[in-house]
Parts: sequence; structure tokens; C-alpha cells
Amino acid sequence: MDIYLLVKTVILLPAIGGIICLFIPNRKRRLIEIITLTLIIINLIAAVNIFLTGNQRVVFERFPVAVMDMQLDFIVDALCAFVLIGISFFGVVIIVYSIGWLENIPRLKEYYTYILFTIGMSSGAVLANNFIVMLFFFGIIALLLYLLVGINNGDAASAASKKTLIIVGSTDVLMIIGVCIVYYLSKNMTISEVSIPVNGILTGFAFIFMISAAFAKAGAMPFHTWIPSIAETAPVSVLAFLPASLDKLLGIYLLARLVLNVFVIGTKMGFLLMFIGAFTIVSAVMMALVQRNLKKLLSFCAISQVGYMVLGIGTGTPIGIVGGLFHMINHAIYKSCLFLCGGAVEKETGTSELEKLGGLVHFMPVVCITCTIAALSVSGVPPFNGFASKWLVYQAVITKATATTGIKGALLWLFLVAAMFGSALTLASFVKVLHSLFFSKKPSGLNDIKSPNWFIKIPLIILALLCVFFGIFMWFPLKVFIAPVLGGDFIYFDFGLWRPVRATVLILISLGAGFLIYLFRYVRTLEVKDVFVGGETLDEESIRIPGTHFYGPIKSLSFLKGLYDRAENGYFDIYNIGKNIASNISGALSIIHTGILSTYLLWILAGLVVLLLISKLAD
Amino acid sequence: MEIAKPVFYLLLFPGFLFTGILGLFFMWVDRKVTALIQSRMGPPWYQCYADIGKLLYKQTIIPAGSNAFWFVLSPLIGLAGITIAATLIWLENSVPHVSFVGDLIVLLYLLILPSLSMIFAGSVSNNPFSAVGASREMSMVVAYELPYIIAIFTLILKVKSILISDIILYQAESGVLIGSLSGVIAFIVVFTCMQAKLTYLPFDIPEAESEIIGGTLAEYSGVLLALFKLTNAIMLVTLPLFLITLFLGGFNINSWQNIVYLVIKYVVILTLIILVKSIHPRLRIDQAIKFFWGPVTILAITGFILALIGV
Repeated sequence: MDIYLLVKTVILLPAIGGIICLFIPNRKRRLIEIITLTLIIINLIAAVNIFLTGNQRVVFERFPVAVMDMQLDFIVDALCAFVLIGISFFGVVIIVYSIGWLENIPRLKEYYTYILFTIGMSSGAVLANNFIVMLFFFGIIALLLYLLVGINNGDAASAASKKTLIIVGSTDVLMIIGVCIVYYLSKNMTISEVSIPVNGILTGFAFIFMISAAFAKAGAMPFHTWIPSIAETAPVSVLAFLPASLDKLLGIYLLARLVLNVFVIGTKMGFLLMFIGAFTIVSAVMMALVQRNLKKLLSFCAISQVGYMVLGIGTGTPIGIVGGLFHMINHAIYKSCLFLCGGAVEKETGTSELEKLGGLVHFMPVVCITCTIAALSVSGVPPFNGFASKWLVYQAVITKATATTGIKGALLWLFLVAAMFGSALTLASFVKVLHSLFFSKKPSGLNDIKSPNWFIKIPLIILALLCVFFGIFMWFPLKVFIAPVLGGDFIYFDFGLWRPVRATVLILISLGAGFLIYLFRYVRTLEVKDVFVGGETLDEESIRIPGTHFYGPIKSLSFLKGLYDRAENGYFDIYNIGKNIASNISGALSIIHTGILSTYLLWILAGLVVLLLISKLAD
Repeated sequence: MEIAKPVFYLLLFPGFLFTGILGLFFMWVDRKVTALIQSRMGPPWYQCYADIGKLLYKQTIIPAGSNAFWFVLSPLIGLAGITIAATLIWLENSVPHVSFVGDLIVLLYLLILPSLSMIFAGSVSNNPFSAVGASREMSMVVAYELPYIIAIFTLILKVKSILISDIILYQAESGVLIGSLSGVIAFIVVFTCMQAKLTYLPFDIPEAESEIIGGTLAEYSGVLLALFKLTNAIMLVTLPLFLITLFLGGFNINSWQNIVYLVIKYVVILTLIILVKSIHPRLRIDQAIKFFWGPVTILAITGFILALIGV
């Protein structure tokens, strides 16, 4: 098919569909949904076609813009084609889920419009081969993020969406400054033609400014704080779509683009990236460990996982970049699955507070199994996909660390410890989630719970199956999607050893063997007896142990307690820090701002004198 | 036919069956020696086999309000994990140029599976004691994992490879890893963590019979309990072998002499385990976390720094 048509399709079709949706009244809900779903499936097909056509440059020459030789310039290469498929795929998943999950909210048609627009604009941002074009798309995406996050009415929602816009928007401003520096240095706005070695202060700043935008989108520290803030107010489908999958794809795509194409980073910047990655992994997961709200816990965990991607890409070695990108797609799969499971639970029970939930394994077995698979994936339990990509990242860091000596080598080992320890902490967080939601005793207030409908269950099952598939047959996504990014054929990395297919077969065989032993004394009617509580008669509620009680001893350790208290009061939140600085400055300015006219006139006069002096000196 | 050989390794020799039988024997050794230390008679040699045999004939009871599927699945996860780990360690040592399923990182993750299975078991039992047990088990994994990882990295730093065969080869060429000061420190750290992995005293906090009536295992009976016992038995063989592989130059079973060497190495470690187990009272969970994140981690870091400067 014509590549020009395909590119137009993936960018414009969702946007046009979005506009159409705006003209359909809310009560024709099914019509809106059918239109949305059809368009998004066409979008996915177009994305796959783009992927199959391979590397091409797509320049729309009928839209010349005079400023800085800008053209409507797009590029199709392995990296963006693969991210494009990801965007459309998660779009389909979220739309299907929304059909079953979304209540009749007042802004229903806006919701679908924004989602469609986001998909179109994201495709544009990913395909863009000109900095201005990319900035244009990213600007609209930030705005759509603001609108989607605030789709529910209420003060909390609007405060959270404001925070999101400020963080993402201000880092976009930083990116604009970065682009200006890049243009100043290279006199070129075409992304594929720029290649700047990061070796001085100016290039260093350009790089840091531009990666901050990537970090804010992906949610790496220190620009992560919008994600936990929106966790409690935004609809779960939005959470699963934006911070969990799409923004990760966009942020890490941008990071990979910057590291692979635009800049040639040296060891220092690589270390900076790896440091941020390792720090993000541990500190975010420590926060996840003590959360009491499911969505907040998941959002902190989503931040923590970005660390692995940044760590992998920061190594700068092929295996690290492959691992980072693989982790990006894996994370999008299991984290959106987890958020969607959370959404199913919230829909049926009306709450996402871990303490008020329990015993759901009896009511929603499918959700329980998919959630467990996703939780084991995120914790990196073999043979699921999270393990595969984490293993690649570890390989990269270990290879680098064994080849480096001195302080740098020691730091690399430290990053590695952070990454592996973070994995254990992630497991701990998800043990807490699984226990609280599914396995603990049902609280007495929770009655008449139904299993969610199939529109909810099918996306969950697809995502869980992908977790298993990408884990066991990890060479398939690596060969097809990720290896082409680095150009060239896929090399089997021979540093470590992991044979997922054989391991899975053996795990299944030993599970089977264990089950055979179990069948040794199998009786068709399993005898069910009351639980043993030492012979005492206790009421139901007092013997319920919710998962939120699991890590009390860790939280109350003296050296962690202070940190946790400060973190909960927003001490380390860059938004709060920025707010405080801004209010201090404006406080200082308000002292000058007296409201007395004669004082103002005096200031104006003083300013004029200064200007005159300067112009005199300049002559 | 390519898969037939690994399956044989896995299920019969040296995997599940062989290691299981061996493990039950050493479990008896453990019980006997502990009894002697405590001036008791101790059980006869066939006691552990008899226990398993008896459990196999008992009926399985599912606790009310728990889900049968997950209740049955939980013990199987741990058994599968430890069986593969055991086979991996045996094969890497005794068959040259084998590439069974994975490297050291994979092995570390496989060795978490028994803990995970205990946690699931405690969680799905619907019993408050079990839930407390699960929470303690998880906290303990988090606690010992930090020094454990650092100690393992000390080793990788020296060997510069994560293939288990390379670690064994390195020791054959340039002396066992315990031969240096940093190696000794790493050994002590991993040994301490291993005691916690085995949930042996002073770290039997998740089971704590006198407090939370067996914790995670409180509701398990019959065949499923037997599976847990088997998992523990296999762990009792596998973890010391893991230690021998990493620090004491590995082992070989191709001649009588080598087998005697292996037995000596194993018995030394087993004696250490039993001694530590017999002379310590149980810690509280917060004490255990402080112990692992405090002194043990500092020790591990010291060892690591020593390895960095080449001591």
C-alpha cells in the first residue's frame, strides 16, 4: 500500500473519528463505540502495514512552512514502526475494555474523542522526523493528557490534572529549549540528520533538557509525581492507557531516539541515565510497598519499572538497549493488565482501597489468574516476560561492570544491586496486592459481587497470554520488533544463558509430576473443614488479615520511617518544590508590589535610567 | 528425543527422585544430630521416609473459604522451582559443557520459587496464622535478598562471568573462591542467608510453631504437606550444593575419590547448618530485618569492597 496514505491514515483517521464522535449524542453510546472500535482496528492494520513496508522517508511537500526550512517530514524506521504497533494495539485493548467498563459518565463522547485523538497524535509524534513537527504533536498530547486525566469532575481531579499539565508541559518547554540549542549547533531541524556528540556544557544541557521531557512522559524520577496524583482521580482505563502503556512507549521512544540518533552520549551521560534508572527503581518501589490504595500502588510500581528501561538504555550497549526496549513493551503489557484488573475489581466492588477488599478469588477467577500472571511478570519470576527483559538488562549491566574498574565499576555494581533488589521489593508489593484482593478473607461488607463482563475479561486474557508468550518465546519479539532497531541481524547474546522454552517445558513437567503425586490420594469430593485458629471462637472480622498489614515491621524501621513520613507529605515532590520556590519568589515580589502609584513611577524612572545607561555604554 | 534427556535428568537422576531421597536422608541426619545436641535419642533412620509415606495416604483437607485450585497449586510451584534448580546445579557440576536452562541469575530466581510457594500457600489458606506466616516469609525474603545479592556479586566480580560452568572452571584454575578474605566474607553472608532460605532457626519466623502454629503450613495436610516436606528436603541438599559450587570449587561425581570429597564438603556445611540451628533461639521478624539490613549487609559490602581492591 502507498506509504503516504498509510501515514495519513494512522495520524488523521483517529482524529477525524474523534471529531465525528463529538457530534453523536451520549445516549447513542453503542454507535460511538462501534465507530471508535472500527477506526482503531483500521489504525492497527495500517500500523502493521507500515511496519511491514520497512524503512522509508515520508515528506509531504505540499505543506512547506517557511520557518527554519521546516517540512511536514515523517520517517518510518524499525523503532517507530514498532512503537506505532504498540500504540494502536493498546488503543484497541483500551477501547474494548472501555466498552464493558465505562459507566455512563457525562463526558462519554469526549472520552472517546480524546482517546482517539491521543492515538492519532501519538502516531504523529512517533513518526515525526522534524523537531518542530514532533514538538507540535507532543504539545497536543500533553493537552489531551490533561483533558483525559480530568475527565471526571471534581476538585481533586482538576488539581491532579493541573499538576500533570504543569509537569509535562514545563518539561516540554525544556525540550523546546533543547531543540533550540540543537538547532543552534547543527543548523538542522531534521531528526534523522542530526548527530551531536555530548561533550560540552551546551550539548550537555541540550541533552538533559530533552531527556527531561522523555522522563516526564515515561514517569522517571524526578518528574514522576503526576502519576501517583492522578491515580486516585482518573478513570482506570485512562490510567492503563496513558501512564501505564502509551506514555511509557512515547517517553522511552523519545529517550531511545535521543540516545540512538540525535545525540552521541559519552560515559558521563550514560552514567547519569543509569544512576537515575537505578535510583528510580528502588525509591519508587519502596513507596509502592507501603501504599494502601491499589491504583496508587500500581502507579508507583509503574514509575519503578521505568528505571529498568532507563538503566538498560543508559548502558549504551546493544544488549542493554534491546533489554530496555523489550522491557518497555513488556511493561506496557503487564502494567496495563494490572491496571485493568484493578479496574474490574473497582467496578464490581466500588472501592480500590486494599483494606476493604478480599476473597475475590471466589467471585472473579479469571481476573485472579490474569492478575497473578501479570503480577508474577512484573516481579520478574521466570518464565514470564518481565524476567526475560530484566535478565537482558542485568546482562548488559554485568557485562559493563565486569569490564570497568575503579569507582565507576563499583557504581555499576551498585546499580545492579538496586535493580535486583528492586525486583524482590516488587514481588513483595504484589504479594500484598494479590493477598489483599483475592486470597485474604472476604470482608463482611462485601456482598453480591458479580464476575465482570466479557468486554472486560477478553482484554485481560489477551494481555496475560501475551505476558506468557513474550516470556517463553522471547526471541520472537526480540527478532521481529527490537533487533531491527539497532540495525542488522539479531545476535544471540552469549554472555549469559537462559533457555525459556526448555525451562517452561521442564517447569510444566515438574508441576505435572507434583500433581500426579497429589492424585495419588485423590478423592473426588475434597473434604472441606473449618480453618484452625487454636480452638478459639473469634468473629469473622477480627481474624481477617488484609495485605496492608504485611510490611509493618519494614515501614517502622527507624531509618526508613523518617523518609516515608517526608515522602508522604510531598517533601520530595518536584511539583511541590517548584510551587514553594514560585510562591517564595512571588512573596518577595509582592513586597515591592505596594500598590502606591508614585512608587511605581519611581521604578519606571529607574528602569529608564538603566536602559539609557546601557544604550550609552553599548555605543 | 532432545527433550527426553533433560526430562530424565529432571525427574529421576539427579533431579527429583534422587535428590528427594537424599534430602529425606539428610533431614533425618539433621533431626538425629539436633536430638543428640539436645540429649535426646532422635528418630530412627527411616523416620522421614515413613513420614512422607504416611502423609501420602492421608486425605487432603481444604480449609473452608479457600480456593481449592490455588490451594493445590501453591506447593507445586515450589517443588517445580527447586527441582529444576537442583537438577541445574548437579548437571553444571558433573556434566562438562552442559547448557541446561540458565545461568547464575536464572538460578537465583529459581531459588526464590520455594519461598514464593510458601507465601502463596499462606495467603490462600484463609487462616490468620497462615497470613501472618506469609507476610513474615515475604518480609524475610526482602530482608535477606539485599546482602545475598551483594555477596553473589562479589563472586561475579571475581570470576567476571555469570555462567555457572565458568565459576567452576575459574575455581579449578585459580583456586577456590573461599580462599580469599572477600570470598570468606561472601561465604559467611550467603551461608547466613541460606539459613533463612531454609527457614531454619534462628530464622524459622514464618513457621514459628510455638507462636503461629506452623504459619504458612498451618492448614496443609496429607499429600500437599508431603509435597512441602519434599521441597524442604530437596532444598536441604540443593542449597549446600549451591554453596559448594559457588565457593568450594564445585564437585564431581565421576570417581569414588571425587564423591568422597563432595560428601566431606557437604557434611561440613550441613554440620554448620545444624549447629547454627541448634544453638540459637528464634528472632522476631523486625530483629531479623534489622539483622540482615544492618550487620549482614555491612559485612557483605565490606567483602565487596575488598574484592574490588583485589583482596
